[in-house]
Amino acid sequence: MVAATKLKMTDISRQKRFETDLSDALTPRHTVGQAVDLYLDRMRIPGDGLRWSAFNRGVKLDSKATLDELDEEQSEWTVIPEVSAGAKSALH
Amino acid sequence: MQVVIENSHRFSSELRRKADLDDVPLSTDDVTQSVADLVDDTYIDGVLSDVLPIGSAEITATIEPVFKTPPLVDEIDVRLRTGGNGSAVEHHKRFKSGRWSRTRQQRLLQLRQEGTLAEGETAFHMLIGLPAAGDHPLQPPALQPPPIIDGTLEQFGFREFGEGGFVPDRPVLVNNRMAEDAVNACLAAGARETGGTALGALVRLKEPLANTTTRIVTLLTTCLEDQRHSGKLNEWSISPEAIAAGQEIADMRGMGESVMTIVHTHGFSTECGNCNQNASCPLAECTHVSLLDYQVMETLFPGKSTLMPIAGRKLGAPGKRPVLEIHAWRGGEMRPVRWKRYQD
Ligand SMILES: [Zn+2]
Ligand SMILES: [Zn+2]
Repeated sequence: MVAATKLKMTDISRQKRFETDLSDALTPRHTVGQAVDLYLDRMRIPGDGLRWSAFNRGVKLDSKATLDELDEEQSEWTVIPEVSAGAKSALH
Repeated sequence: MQVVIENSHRFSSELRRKADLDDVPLSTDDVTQSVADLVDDTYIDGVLSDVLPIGSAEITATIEPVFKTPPLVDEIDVRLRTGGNGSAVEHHKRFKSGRWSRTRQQRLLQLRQEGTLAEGETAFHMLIGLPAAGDHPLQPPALQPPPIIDGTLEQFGFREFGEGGFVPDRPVLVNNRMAEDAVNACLAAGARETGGTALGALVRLKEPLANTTTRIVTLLTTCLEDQRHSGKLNEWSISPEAIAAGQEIADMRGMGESVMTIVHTHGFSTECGNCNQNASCPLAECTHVSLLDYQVMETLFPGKSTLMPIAGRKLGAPGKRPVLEIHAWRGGEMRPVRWKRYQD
């Protein structure tokens, strides 16, 4: 296993892409959840208090896992929130 | 890409009981950053309409309010310039809406809920633009072109055109089977909402199609249903696992498709039996993009080239079947656009 040294994150439609080395704003000691927060901030995506998950090849990553637990093949993520569509107008 | 924003105003979104600047505001939100985010809308519009080159190293964006009477803003003008030395390209758009329009709707709901505004009482919205004293750095949005595939419609299984038409600078083609499935799923689910993950691609053709002005066509090819999504009245919960699985399926199909968006329904009632004609039918129309829908667009699909197909009733539409309406980002909000079917 080779530890990941960089991260690539994107939304599901691959339109907001962010790439960073794990020596900059993120280090191997940061968690998956913290990496997702950085992605949202840099891409100007409103977090909205939603629950966000990072997926690697269809598999959800543990948001509390630290980045040094990931191997190189797990360094490309799709970032997906838990949301609802529909006619309802009020946000709760 | 380096993005420079030239802006000399601060913007705030205010709600008042009276359409009078002397009236004390019910709410005030600084929305300067949401105004700056319109640079992204303008950029994607320029890319999709084939005006702005992909891969320019530098873009300068100028934001100017267009006043009704200062400080009341009517529209926001966003002007983009790429490159320099003779090859400069300009693209500009005007906006009456932006993220502040959704913030304002949320405020309005809050004011109703807490009783500050009585049910049925209206509030006046004003977008205020004041000259900014000194420097106030804005975070430029990350401008990235969406993934566009150089190719032909045939490589995605296109055989012939069906009904419908195009917006000249934003042509949208939808697989006929997918469109029929969405209408049938809406009908079968009744008042309960349902939906699926839509696959497709942005394709750059050699020449624009007839009656269009851009080579870039948005193609919606198929819709994947998944039991992990769950629907009820007025709300359809999207499963992140199912969405992620959709991407795996798109990759396996090997045609270069990606997850483009979700299709969802706004219900169709067998009880009223006349949803397209009955003005007092309680179900929302497919032309209505709710705050929940906007939240999906701004978080799950944050790219401004994303479409939102909604099936449901449409007042005045002929017949007793749901209608599929497709919304695209236009003028800072999602608006229904004309689209065309194709057969595979
Ligand atoms: Zn909806
Ligand atoms: Zn009805």
